[in-house]
Formats: sequence, C-alpha cells, structure tokens
Amino acid sequence: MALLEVSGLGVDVAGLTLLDGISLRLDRGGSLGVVGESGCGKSLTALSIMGLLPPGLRPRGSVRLDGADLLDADDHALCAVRGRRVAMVFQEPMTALNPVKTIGAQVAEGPRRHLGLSRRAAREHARAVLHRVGLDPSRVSPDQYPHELSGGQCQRVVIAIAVACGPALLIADEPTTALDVSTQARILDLILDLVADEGMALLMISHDMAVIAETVTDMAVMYAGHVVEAGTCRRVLGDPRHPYTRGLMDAMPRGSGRPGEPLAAIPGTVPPPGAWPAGCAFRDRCPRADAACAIRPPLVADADGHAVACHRPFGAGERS
Amino acid sequence: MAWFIAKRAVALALTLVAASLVVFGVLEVLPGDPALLILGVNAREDTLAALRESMGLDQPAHWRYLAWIGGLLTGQLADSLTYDVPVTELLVPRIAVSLPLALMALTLTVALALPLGVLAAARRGRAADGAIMGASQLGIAVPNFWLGILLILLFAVTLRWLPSGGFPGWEAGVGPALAALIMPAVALALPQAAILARVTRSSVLEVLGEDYMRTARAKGLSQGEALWHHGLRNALIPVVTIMGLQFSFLLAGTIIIENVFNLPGIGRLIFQAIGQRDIVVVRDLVVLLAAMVGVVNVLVDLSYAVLDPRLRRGHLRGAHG
Amino acid sequence: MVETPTPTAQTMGGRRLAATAWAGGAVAALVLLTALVSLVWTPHDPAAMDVANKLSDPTGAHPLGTDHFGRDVLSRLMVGARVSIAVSLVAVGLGAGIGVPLGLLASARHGWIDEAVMRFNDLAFAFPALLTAVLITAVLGPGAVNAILAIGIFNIPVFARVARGAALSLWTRPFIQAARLAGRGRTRISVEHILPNIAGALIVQGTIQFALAILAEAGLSYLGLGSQPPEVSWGRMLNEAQTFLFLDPRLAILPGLAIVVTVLGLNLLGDGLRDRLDPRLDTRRADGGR
Repeated sequence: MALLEVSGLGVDVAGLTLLDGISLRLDRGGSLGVVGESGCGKSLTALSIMGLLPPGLRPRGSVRLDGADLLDADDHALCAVRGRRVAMVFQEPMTALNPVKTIGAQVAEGPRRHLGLSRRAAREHARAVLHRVGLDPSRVSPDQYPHELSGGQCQRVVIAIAVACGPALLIADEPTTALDVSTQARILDLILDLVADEGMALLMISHDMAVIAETVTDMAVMYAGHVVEAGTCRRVLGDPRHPYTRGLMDAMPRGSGRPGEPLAAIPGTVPPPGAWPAGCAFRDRCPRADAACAIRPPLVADADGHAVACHRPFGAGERS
Repeated sequence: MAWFIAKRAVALALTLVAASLVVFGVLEVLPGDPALLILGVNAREDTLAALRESMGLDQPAHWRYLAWIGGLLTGQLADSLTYDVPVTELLVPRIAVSLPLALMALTLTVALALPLGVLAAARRGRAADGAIMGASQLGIAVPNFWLGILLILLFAVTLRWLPSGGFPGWEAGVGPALAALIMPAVALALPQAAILARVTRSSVLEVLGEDYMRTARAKGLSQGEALWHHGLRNALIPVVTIMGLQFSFLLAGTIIIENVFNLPGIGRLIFQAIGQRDIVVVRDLVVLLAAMVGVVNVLVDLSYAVLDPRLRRGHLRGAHG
Repeated sequence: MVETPTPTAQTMGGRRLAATAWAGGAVAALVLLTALVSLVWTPHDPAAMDVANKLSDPTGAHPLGTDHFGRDVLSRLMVGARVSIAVSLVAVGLGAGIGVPLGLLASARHGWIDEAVMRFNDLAFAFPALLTAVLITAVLGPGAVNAILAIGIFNIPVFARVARGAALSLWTRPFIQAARLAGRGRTRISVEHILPNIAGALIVQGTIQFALAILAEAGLSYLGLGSQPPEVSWGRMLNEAQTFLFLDPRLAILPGLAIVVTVLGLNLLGDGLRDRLDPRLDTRRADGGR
C-alpha cells in the first residue's frame, strides 16, 4: 500500500474550479516533486493533503494516507495526523513563525501534543531537534525570537517544527524560494539529509525544475490546476513529451525563475481559474495546438509509467 | 527597558507641563475675581485687597504659576475657593469613588469585549457573529447617561434591587458601596465594550489570516488552540491601544455618569468646581486627570513591549502599524 | 467629538451591507425631515403648557403623551431633533472646514507645518474630549453656540488626520506628478485634484463624526451646558425627565430612543459608505486556516 495516494483530487470555490483530477502516488520513503508556474495549483494540492485549505474552498476526490481518507476525516482526526504523520515546510520562513513566541517553544508544541512529552521533556526535545537542523544551541538559543534570526535560520526552525515528531511524509512547499541563493543550497541539503536519515517520504513543491531534479526521483508537472505530465524524473526530464514541460525546461537556465515571471520560452502567463480555455488549458500558449486540443486530453501513461496529457506530444527523443 | 521607561517619563512630564500651562492660561482669561467670589459683592474694597494679597493674586501671572506648580510637586495644594479646605482633602474621598468606578468599568469592558470579539471572529459570518456585531452596533449608538437612566428605571424603580443613586461611603461596607457603583460602571462600560468588541474582532480576523496560524495548524493544533496559543497575543496589540484610549474616555465619562447617579466623585467635583468658578480646584483636577491619562499611556506602551518581543530593548519599530 | 474606530462588518456580503446602509440612511433622512418639518409645523406648540393635563399618557391629541408641564412630547422631540442636528451639523462642518485645509496643507508641504499639525493632533487625542468640552463651555458660558465650538474643536484634528493620510498617498500618483510637471502650484493641485479624490473618505468620516457629535451634544445638553431653555434638546429633555423617573418613565425613554435611532442610522450609513467608497478595505486579506 502506498503511503500517500491522491486520486481525482479537485478543489472548488463558489462554483469555480481551482484544481481538478489530480492523482499522485508516493511510497514510504519515496520522493515526489510537483512543478509548475505560480498559480498552477501546486500549493493548493499541498494544503488539500494537509486539510488546511482556506475557508470556502471545497476539496473533492480522495487523499489517502496509510489507506485512510483524509478528506472524509473530521478536524479532530486531522489534528492527530498533522504534525505527526504529515508535516509541512512553508515558503516564507519569516511569516511562518509566530513573532511573539520563542523558537524553542514553537518547536516544542508538536512533540508535547503528539509524543505526550512533559513540558520539560518537550523543551529538551526541541533543543535537540533545533541542533539537528543546524541551529547549534551555543550559537542560536531556543529562547530567541524569530526576528533575531536570519531568513535561513528561520527556515531551519520551520523545518525543525515539521520534523520534530518524525512524520512519515514531509511536504516542502517552495522551501527555498524566499531565501538567497547560497542559503538555498544549504537548506535543500538539510532537507535531503533529514529525509534520508529519518526515512521520510518527501513531497517537494517548486516552480524550479533544477530543485526538483536535485531532490526527488518522481515528478508531476502541473498546469492550470491539472497534472499535464508525470513519471520518473529520469523520463520526464530526459524525454519531456508535453510542450509545457519543454517550455519550463527551456526556461530553466535563464532568468531567476521567480513565480509570476513569464517564462522566456512560453509566451503569456498561466490564466487564472475561470479563464481556462475549454479543452486543453495550455492551448492558448502552445505552439503545437490545433483543432483537436479543443477537447481536454486525458492523462495517458506508457508502459514505463510516463504519463502525458496532450493530443500533440513531442515524440520520444524529438527536439523542439 | 530602563531607557525606554525614562524616555516615556520625560515625555509624560513634558505633556503635563503643557497641560498645566494650557489650563492655567485658560483660567487666567476666565472672567470673575476669586476674592470677590469668596467675600461676595458687598465686601469692602480693603478687605478684598487684603484677601487678594493673602491668596497671592497681586503677584504677576508667571510667579503664581510657579507657586502653583511648586505646591503640586510638594503636595501642598492651595485651599479651595468654595469649600475653604485644601484641595487634597476634597480629592482623597472622591478618588475613593471615581477610581474604583473607572476600574470596575474598565474590567467590565474588557471582560465583555474580548470574549465576544474573539467569538465573533471565530464564528465569522455565522449567526453568533451577526448577533454580536448587531448588538455592538446598537451599543455604540447608546449614550452612556441614557443607559444609566434605563438601568435606574429597571433595577432601582421597577425591581428595587439597587439604589437609584448616591454613595454610602466605603465605611458602610464593601457590599453597599459596590452596589452603588455597579450600575454606573455598567453604564460606562457597555458603549465602550461595544467599540472594543469590534476592534477585537477585526484584530483577530487579521491574525487568523497570518502564516504562523497555518504553521500552528500544521503542527496539529485545533483552530481553538491555535487561536488561544498563537493568535490572541498578536491580536491584543491593537486592542490594548484602544483600551488605553478608552481609559481616558472612562475618566471623562465619570463627569456625566456621576451626575446621573449622584455620586460624590472626581467627575462631579470638577463639574461643580467649573460651575462655581473654583479655579483652584479646577486646575488641580485637570492636571490630575492629565497625569492619570499620561500614566495609562505609558502603561500601554510598556504592555506593547511585554506582548511583542520585537518592541523590546528600546528599538521601537512600528511592527504593527 | 472623538474618533471612534468603527470597523466594518466584513462578514456581510455586499448586498446585505448595502441593505443596512440603506436602512440607516433612510432613518437618518427621516430624522432630518422631521427636523425640517418642525420648522413650519408641529402638532402642538412645543412650549405651550397645560398643567391640568401634565404627564398624560399617549392620547389622540398627544400621540406620545405630555411632560411634567403638560407640553406635547412629540412636538418637543421634533423640535429637539432640529437642535441636535443643527448643532452637530455646524460643529462637524466647522471641524471639516478647518481640519481638511489643515490636513491638505500638511500633506502638500512637509516640514514644520506637517509636524505642527500632527503634534496638535496628538495633544487633542491625548486628552479626554468631554472634559475639555466641559471646560470650554464653562469658560464661554453654556449655550448652543458654545456647544458647537466645543464639539467642533475636536473634529478639527480628526478631519486633518483623515485628509492628510488620504492626500499623502495621492501625491505620489502619476496624475498628480504630471500636474506638478505642468507647472500647477501645490495649492491649486490640492483643490483641483486632491480634494475630489479624497471626498469619499471625508464623507465617510463626516457621517461617523456626525453621529458622534449627536452623542456629544446630547451629553453636554444633559449636563445643562448645551442649548438653554426655552430651546428644546433631547439631552435636556432627559435631564428633566430623570426627576420624574418614578412617576413617568416614558419621558426618559423617548428622547433616548430618538438619540439611539439617529446615531444608529448614521453609523450604519457610514459603515456602508465606507465599504463602497474607501478603497483601503479591498486590500484586506481573506482569513486562512479553518
């Protein structure tokens, strides 16, 4: 049985579809990357798995963790799962931490709740976890406040909060986007290190193909609320079939790749929900689109499990 | 922290000097001769002159100002023009009425507004929110003195549970004294609570949208736990600002509420003293009230530092706008 | 008289909020109409005494009964509306008339003028307004005109602050900078371009200040510092009614209700207008986390 099995996940708000037909699978100790431009629904997918969608957003489909459907679970049951079985690292370390609580206290909360530790034991545990994520207590005290730390140090605290209870699945939502380049690499190393040590599964969410290529073995490419291509990184990156995936890869070496910036290789930007064209959502920006694309292409996998949702995919080995 | 307090203390002192100058200046231009007021229009001119001299009224204005301030600083307050006793003797028993009244009102305000404001935010858009916001809209529109009259009507006239006014004095026992203060305190508190509940609600709503609340939820905290452990302290900062302002409204409100309930407090004393042109009492009371407001403002600033570690160590940044 | 934060009920969708704003506006308009009608017609002469018929319950001739001198309560409430509205309107107009130019001046020319306006603001907010109003009316003597002055003075800093804040953000906008490059003077730009663009914020604040002024006027009148007899005011009616509280509570309830209804109507109108006119609300974030 897979650790995480997302099937047919959709999210709607007030009659508008934000996410549709998302299916993902992640084995125990495995790693999966979700890549796409800002606004494609990557973060919504992560929040749906956590059960932390903003009010008004309704999920449908199923999100199974260890076989149990989280979308059916009540909030009490979800509270027992969050932080214990699934944990999440957020994009903005500065705002993800409570400014009025010490970092030690923020890390200790989870263990106190999920591991049944006493106040004192939880504090000791927090100290050890902070040390583990690279915050040496002799240099950064657990009694310090977030504003006294750098962005990279704050992100280490956020990671410490996430891994404090030894979750089976770690979701990292753009964990390095808000950091400077030299810090980015160190934070990614830390995440990979922790995942390997603790045997956690990793769901890495990023707009950056390079980050995905470095950190995970499987990947899914999302566009306008749908998965357009999925498979092993070796297959998807080595032989991209979907024109959008190619566009993302062509854009890779150039520019900063900051979310919201138009891709150099693909004209235009992701249309907002409600403005998706009928049929293939990418066809307005696609150089290969034709009449057939007015019908939404299904996600079809080949024998190796390399799946693509496109009527006019690039052939194997074809140059763009 | 010490530096911070010192800075606030200097600012407070400067404010008080400004307030004392303003009230002294205003009372200088006030028509009426204090000596004439005391002795009456039939007094002989030489008696009047002698009294003016003994009161120091023949001295130049700046000299009289300095003498007054010197008296304030050494606790040697001049005699009231109408009561013929030092102002201190008038003040002490009246502070024993007004200060408990203001504190009771402030406690009631906070005890009502905080839970209701948080509840309304947590139940945003649902029936409880609508009811609380509707009630607060009404509460803001009700003049406190009319609320006082309605309370008298209900609890004193109809139900006969509480006295309709007056104050038996603390020597009559805590029970009767509190019974005399509870209706005035409620009348002062409810309109302020209505305002504070709205501030609390919008502040909590703001905090609910913060990223760290999502982090707290991602740890496995329930909505209520996240709000209690992570939201409240952050939400309190704007609430405390308004509470500080409200304390000065409550003090001023005693002027009118002590009239409604016929309470012998500071507010009634200053109202009467103004009416009787008792400038000695008026100027001392104005500075006293300004000092109380100023001290509360310093306390509010200190509470920011307690609530938010970013505001400690003197480096005050407008982190919360 | 003092600025009260009146956060708007964001919960209510645009339609429902608009409905409460309409209702509030209708109530306020009705009170205004009543005040205007009282200029030419009231059911009875509000000052005509009929001691034989004092403290009468509502009858056909006196729909709201009579007071302790046998005067018609409805007529007195109508005339009272006139005083309340007139005093508040002039006081708010005074505050806006002085405060808005001050705020515009402060935003157009930084430096000491700005600094002076803001310090005056701080001072005015630091001190209980009611106490100072009592002092002012005591110095100048009680009466409607002095009540207007006392209330109006506290509206000056409120309007100065709102005008300055709204104008400051406009000065950086391209169309204002274009006007400056075209050689228009700061004063002319303030009047021609800034003022029309901050009118929305000023109208919203004006509505809320109007409601606060009604409350302040009632308070001063209740203390006997507002308009003097034979003029009628709601606050004074309450003061007189308190003596007869044991005999006839109706006299104490009706003027209070008139105040509450008027203030409530104005506040609802102000909140609704704020949602429509004040763009700052659009930037409010939706709340996350269930």
